[in-house]
Parts: sequence; structure tokens; C-alpha cells
Amino acid sequence: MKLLEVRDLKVYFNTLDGLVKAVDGVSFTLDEQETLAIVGESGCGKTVTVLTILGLIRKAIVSGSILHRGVELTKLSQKELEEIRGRKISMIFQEPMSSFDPLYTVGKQMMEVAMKHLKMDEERARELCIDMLRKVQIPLAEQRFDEYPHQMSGGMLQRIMIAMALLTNPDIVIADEPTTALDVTIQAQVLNLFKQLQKQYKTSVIFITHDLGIVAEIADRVHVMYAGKIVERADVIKLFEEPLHPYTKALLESRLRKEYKNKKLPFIEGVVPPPTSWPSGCRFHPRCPRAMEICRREEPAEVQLNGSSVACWLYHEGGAR
Amino acid sequence: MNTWQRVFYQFKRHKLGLIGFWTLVVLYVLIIFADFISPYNFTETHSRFTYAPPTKIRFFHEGKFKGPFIYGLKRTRDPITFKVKYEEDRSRIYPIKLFVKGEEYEFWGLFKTNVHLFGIEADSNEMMLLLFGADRFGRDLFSRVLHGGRVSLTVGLVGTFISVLIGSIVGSISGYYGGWIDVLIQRFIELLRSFPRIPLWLALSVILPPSWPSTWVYFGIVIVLSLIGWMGVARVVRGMVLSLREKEFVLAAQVAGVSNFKIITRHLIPNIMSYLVVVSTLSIPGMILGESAISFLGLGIKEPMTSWGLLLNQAQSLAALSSSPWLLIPGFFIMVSVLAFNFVGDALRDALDPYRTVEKV
Amino acid sequence: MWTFIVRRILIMIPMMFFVSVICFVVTELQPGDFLSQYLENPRISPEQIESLRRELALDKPAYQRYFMWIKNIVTKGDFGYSFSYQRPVVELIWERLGWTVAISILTIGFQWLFATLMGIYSALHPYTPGDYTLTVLGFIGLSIPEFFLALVLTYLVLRLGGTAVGGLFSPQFIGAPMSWAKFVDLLKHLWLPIVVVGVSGLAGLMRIMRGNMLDVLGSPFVTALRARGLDEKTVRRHVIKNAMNPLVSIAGMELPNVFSGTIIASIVLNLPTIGPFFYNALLNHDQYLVMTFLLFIALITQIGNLLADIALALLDPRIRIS
Repeated sequence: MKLLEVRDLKVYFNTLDGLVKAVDGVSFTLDEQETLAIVGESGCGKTVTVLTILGLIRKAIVSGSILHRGVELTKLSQKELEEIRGRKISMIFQEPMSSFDPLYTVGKQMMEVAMKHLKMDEERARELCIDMLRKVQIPLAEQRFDEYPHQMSGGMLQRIMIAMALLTNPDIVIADEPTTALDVTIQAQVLNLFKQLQKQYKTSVIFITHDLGIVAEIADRVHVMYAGKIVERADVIKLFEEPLHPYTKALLESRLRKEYKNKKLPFIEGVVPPPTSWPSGCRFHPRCPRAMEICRREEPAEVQLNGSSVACWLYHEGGAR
Repeated sequence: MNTWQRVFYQFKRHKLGLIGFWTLVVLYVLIIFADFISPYNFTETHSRFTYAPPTKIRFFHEGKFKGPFIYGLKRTRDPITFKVKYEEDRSRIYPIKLFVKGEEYEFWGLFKTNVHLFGIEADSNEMMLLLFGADRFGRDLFSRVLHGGRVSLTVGLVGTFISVLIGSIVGSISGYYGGWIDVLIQRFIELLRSFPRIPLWLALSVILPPSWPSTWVYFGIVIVLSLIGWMGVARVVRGMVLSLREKEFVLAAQVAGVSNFKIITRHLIPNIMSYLVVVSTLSIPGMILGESAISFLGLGIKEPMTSWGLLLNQAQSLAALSSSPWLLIPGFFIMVSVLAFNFVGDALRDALDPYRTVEKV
Repeated sequence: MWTFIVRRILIMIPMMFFVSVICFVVTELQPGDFLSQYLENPRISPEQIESLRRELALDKPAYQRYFMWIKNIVTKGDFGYSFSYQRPVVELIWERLGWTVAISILTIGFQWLFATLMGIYSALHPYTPGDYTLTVLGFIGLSIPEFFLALVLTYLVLRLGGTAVGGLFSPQFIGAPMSWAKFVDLLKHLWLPIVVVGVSGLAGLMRIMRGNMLDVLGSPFVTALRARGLDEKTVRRHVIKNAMNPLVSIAGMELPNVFSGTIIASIVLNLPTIGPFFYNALLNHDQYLVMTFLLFIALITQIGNLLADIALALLDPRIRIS
């Protein structure tokens, strides 16, 4: 039994502008003590996917299955989900300042979680939380405990969010672009701390990002998402050495490198299409430098290749390599 | 959909806004054609019908359908209390007809006629069709309500127009020039705002000399009302001008040498038009309520003009109120028209300013 | 934060000075003066009027009278003399101020309580019939003129056989010492003005509360709270606290409107507050009474705003600690 198994997940929204197929047939698994990175540009559905795992998406049409240690999450009631959220599966968000209640001290908010999930009384909860703050390297932890979110920097708040996520020793931590909103120098610190703690607490991690540099640092496996679907899966090293999907290749190429100095910077043609009208056939075909006739007509199924898998006609029998 | 189409679409989706809109249309038609629609002249007194109750319109006489009609009214005086009582006199029947010839009037100063939309063919000394009853002097309340509506429903419009005009000018100057002009104006506005509105309105209303004719008083009241309202508009306009001032098209105009005045009028004001529309519609209710309150207290509109607030003044005595509750009817008209303006304003705001940058004045 | 408060209080002094100028100007502009009513009276000769005028210093030019007034206020605390009542103005206002302030505070409390409850309900059940009903009721509340509501409610009470209308006490209790019966009688009279004055402000506050709740419910930290596995009741507690915060100061800023409303309602319902008093003073050209009254109202409004801002600062840690 896998730690987490997502099968053919579809999340659709009925909006004024039409039906939005935000997540359109996504499947993946997660094992114990591994870090899975989900990579993609904004609008590809990565955030919606993880929010759906926790049942935090409202007013959506959800089909497919999400199994956590064999338990079907999509069929759980809100009350049952409350036992899993923050306890077995935690989440940290992109904007630390917007993820706290501005009117309560950070200490109070941490204790809320400890008291609910770990059934502690106030005194013990306080001790545990302050201890946790020290573990995430917050100086003067006891003092900071009684301060308000607006009194702290983004980096500090993010570390506190990590502390809150690990309080209950969860199976899985979902991190949705946790360092994107931070200064570059702080990013490295927080990332290192994260890696350290993950090893210590032996949690599995689903790490969402659009930054391939971070992927290289932190991931074991990588899934690349585009337009609501997964287009490539690979081990991290394989992904960088032998990217298969044209989109993956383009992403890798568009990172700034010193080789590009004084030359024209490579970029991906076109823009991400609006989710109300995905292109026909392979959704990447309008922007793909190697698009073929069939790419416009039919969606490619995933094929296995040397341990990775990719959804691209180039790798099917008869396709040009 | 372009902007205007979008606005109409959003407006139509707002059901309450539509109800409000059509209610206002009905009300304004009523007051424009007040002379024609009311059966009687609104200032004429009829001593035989003082405090007469609203006449019941009947359709069946002795079991037979006869179309709309009313019975005559017998006026008696209670021998003990000396109070006047009215009883229906079923021996006299007056059918209600359309396009009846009644008292003569002038239609907006254009031509004279004596045709009224409906009424009874009887001399007003003999019997009157009093849909809303009569007041202390036997004047037909229905006619008075329709005529009073002319004042009540126009002070709001005129007053708001002046308010918005003053407010836009002051706000634009304040925001555009900035510096000490801005500070001065802002402090002045803050000063005025430390007064609650009603006491200030009342105090300003007594400035109007008692010797003034009622039309002058009308304009005086309009000005008093608008003097308080412009401040909210000024504040909003100033904010918008401040944010627009740094936009490129303004800088371009300045570089091209366009005069400041032209920049304000030709470029800035059109951009804030939609907000001005919202602000205007939202201020009208306050003005209508304000005029009603001032006139109710006897400090506003003067006879022979009348407004709904002034009409309610007669209901103030407990004795009159308990025996003649129909005197309260003008109040419902105030309520309905203010409600209608509020609905329309809300709908317009949803359509033009969904992010609520404009607050009520 | 304390520097902020002290600064505000210090600014109020020059503000009040300018306010007094406005009060004076507004009263001065009224044509005629206190003695005008005697001009028509054949029994008083023009000479008598002239000498009265000199006595009351009404013959001096405007700016002189203004400075005399201000000087008296600052040096002797003397706000002037009421011509009609023949007593110092301060005494007269002070006597009436108590009930006015009491009714105003009770009304704001009433508004605040119901607006919060109704707003929370509306926001938690949006677009349901209950929500629409409350919205429409709110609109109606906004649209009723206060004096009209007072008249209608008075009429209904009379029709239903009640007698508790007009004034704050029934005739048998006026002048009697406080007792339980008197207190109950007071309550029976008090609900009417509170409802009349409070209804329109209530509607506005309710819509603000509803709007705030909906805004907060959609904000990112609420998703974060849910992601921590907190139960919906706890989440709701967080939401309500955040939504209610700005309301305290907004309710406080309703003070001038409530004051205005009390004036009109008390004129109609004949309550012993400053409303009817002010009204009569206006009609009688009782100049010092009108000016001082306006001055006091402006002062109370400013104090009210200051208190509202202080309350906001106390409740919001982002302002309190900065």
C-alpha cells in the first residue's frame, strides 16, 4: 500500500466563462521518505491538485481517487478530513504573511494546532511549540512566541509555518512554492532548514515549484505538469541529464546560464493557454518546436522510456526521435 | 461586450435595481402629470371635508356590479364631543369616470385645460373623490401628495447635481495641485465634518428669511442640502485625481503644454465619470430624507408649495394622528422613493464599481 | 500609539477654535436677532427695544461679540446667556445632555449588537432566502425617515392600546423618586426612541458586517487555518474576530448620526433631551444657546471619533504595536 496514491484525478469548475478543467486526469504516487517535486508554470493546475488532496477546494466537480494509506480521501466528510489535515498531511503556503491570522500571536496559533491534534493541555503545548521554534532556528524563541505575525519577517514566518507543519510529525508535508515570496538569500536558508528537518522527521514531501534550481537541490523524483496534465515523470538526475518532453527541455533551457552571456536568451514561444479552452490534441502543440500533424489531432498517452515516462508523440512508435 | 453593454447587462441582472428603476419611472411620470392625474387643485380648501377619510371605492351596489363608484358622504357633528364624523350616504352614487372635466389648471404653463385623468362629475362642495382622504383644511391629500412629489423628488436631483459639481471641482483642485491648497481644503472639510448633519442643516435653514416667497425658499433649501453633501464627493474625487495625476497621459499632456484647467476638465474628469454616477445616485436618498426632515420641522419648504415632509407635519399632533392616520401616507411615498433610489444606486454600483472604491456620501 | 493620541488631542484645540468660528457665523447669518420678535409687538416701544439691545450687547458689531464670547469661555467658562430662559447656557445644556448621551450610547449598542448578529448570519448563509430577506429589510431600514418611523410606531402603539408614548416617563412618575416600577416605565418608553434612531444606522452596519465577513472568509489565511485541520467552529471564531474589528470604530463614527437622529426623534416624541431644546432655540434666535449647542455637538463628535480610533488601535495589534 502506497503512502499516497492519486488516480485519474479530475477537478473541474463551472464558471461564468465556461467549464474550467483545471486538473484533467492526473495520476501519481508517493512513497515513504521521498521528496516529489511538481514543476510547471502558473496555471498548470499544480496548486489545485494539492488543495484537492486536502479537500480544501470548494464548489468543484471532483472525480478520480486519492488514497492515503488505502483510505479514500475524496469520500471523507469534512469532520474526518479535519483529522487528517495538519496532522497526517500538512501544508505550507507561498505567502507566509497571508497564512496567519493577524490578530492572534504566532504562539497562540501554534498552540491551537498542538492542542487539537496532540490533545495537550496549554502548558505542555506551549513548551512543545517553543521547542519547535528553536528547532527551526528562531532566535529568542520564547519572546517571539508571544509576538504577532506582522512583527516578523517573511523568512521567519515561513520557518514558523514549517514548525507548525512538523509539530504533529505528519506522513506528508505539501509545500506550495514556499520560498518563491522570499528574498533570494533567505530562500537558501529556509530551503536548507527544510531539507534538514525532512531528514530528521522522516516525512515525505510534495514540493511544488516553478524553479528548477530548487528542484535540483531538493527532489528525489520530478513530475512536470502542463495544462492540467502530467507530461513527464523522471528521477531528478535523469530529468536534468536526459529531459524527454519538449516542454521540459524548454524549461531547462530557459534558465539563465552564463553561457547565454551576450547572446539572445532562449524562451518558450507563446503563452500558457486559458484554462477554459485547452488546445486540441496535445495541449503543448501550439508552442512546441517539434509539433507534428498528429499532435494537433490526438492526445498522446504516456510511454515508459529508460525509467522515465513521457506523454509525447515523438516517443511513440513511428514518431520521429 | 464593450463597457456600456457590460454595464447594462450587470444592471439588468440586479433584480432589485430593476424594480427600483421602474418604480422611479412611475413616480416621476406621476409628478410630471400631477395636474392631470389629480382630480383636484392641491391648494383649494373645502371646509365641508376637513379630515375626511379616504373614500372607499366600490364596485357592487346592492349586489349588482356597476363599475367603480363612490357613495356620497354625510357630515355630522357628534353632539357630545363636537368631533366631526363622516358616514357613507348610500342614496347618492357617483360613478368614477375617466377624462372628467374638473377644475381648470395650466399644464406646465403651456396651455389651460380642465380635463383630469379620472374623477367624479360633481361639484366639490357636494362630494369629493378623496383617494387619500383630506387634511385639516379639506384639501385632497392625493393631489397634494402628487404635487408635493414635485418638490421632494427634485430637490434630491438638483441638490445632488450641485453637490457633485462643487465636490468634483474642489476635489480635483485639491488632488491636482496638492501642496498647501490641498492641506487647507482638507482641513476645512474635516472641520465641517465634525458637525452632525441635521443640526447643521437646521441651523442653516433658519438663515432663509421668512419673508422669502416659496420658490426662493425651494432653492434655498436645495443649496443648504448641497452644502453638506459636497464634502464626501470632494474626498473621493481627490483620491482619484491623485492616482490619475501620475499616469502617463497626464504627463504627456503637460509636456505638450496643455493648460492645467484643460487637463482637469478634458482628461481627468471623464475618467472618473462612472464613479461620479455612482456617487450621485447614492447621495440622492440622503437629500430626499434631509429635505423631508427639515420641512417636517417647519423650517423648509413653505406654503403654498408643499413637499412630502411638509405634508407629514400635519400628522405631528397626537390627536390628529390617532383619528386621521391617512395623513401618514406621504411618508410611505418618501420611503418608497428613497428605497427605489437605494436599489438603483446599489445596482449601478455593482455594475460600475464592484470594488467599492466609492462610499456613500 | 500614545504619541498618536496625544497629538490628536492637541490638534483638537485649534480645531475647536475654528469650529467656534463656524458656529458663530452660522448663527449670525440668521436674519434678525432675539429682539426681532418684539418688533411686531405694539406694546413695546422702539426705544425699549433699543435699550434692551444695548443691554444685551446686541448692538455691537459681529466680530466684537465673537471675541467677547470666546474670551468669556476661555477665562470664565461662561458660554453665554439664554435670552429665552434667562439662565446661563451651560446649565441648560448640561441638564439635558445626560439623557441625550444615554440614549445615544444605548442606541449604538443596540445597532452594534443586531448588526453583528444579522451580518454574521447573512454572511454564513449567503444568497439564501434568509440572506435576501435581511438585505431587503436592511434597505427598508435605510430608507425610512426617522420622524416618519416615530409617527408610525407611535400610531401603532396607540392603536394597540398602549399609552407609553411621548416623553420618557408616564405622568405619574415624573418627579417621583426612582423605583422598580419607574424603571420599568422608563424601559417601556425607551425602546421607541432607540428603535427609531437606531434602525437606519443598523441597516448600514449590518451590510458592512456582512461584507467584512465575506471578505475575510475568502482571504488566504482562512484556507491556511483549515489546512491546519482546525474545526469549522474555531475557524469561524477567527473569521468573526477579524470581521468585527473595523466595526467597532465604524460604530463609534456613527455617533454624529445617532446624535442627529436623537434630535429629530426627540422633537417628535417630546423627550427631555437637547433636541426639542435646540429646535426652540433656533426658532427664537436664542443665539448663545444655539452656538454653544453646536459647539458641544462638534466637540462630542470629535471625542467620539477619537474614542473610536483608540478602540480600533487597542483591538488591532497591527496598529497597537508598530
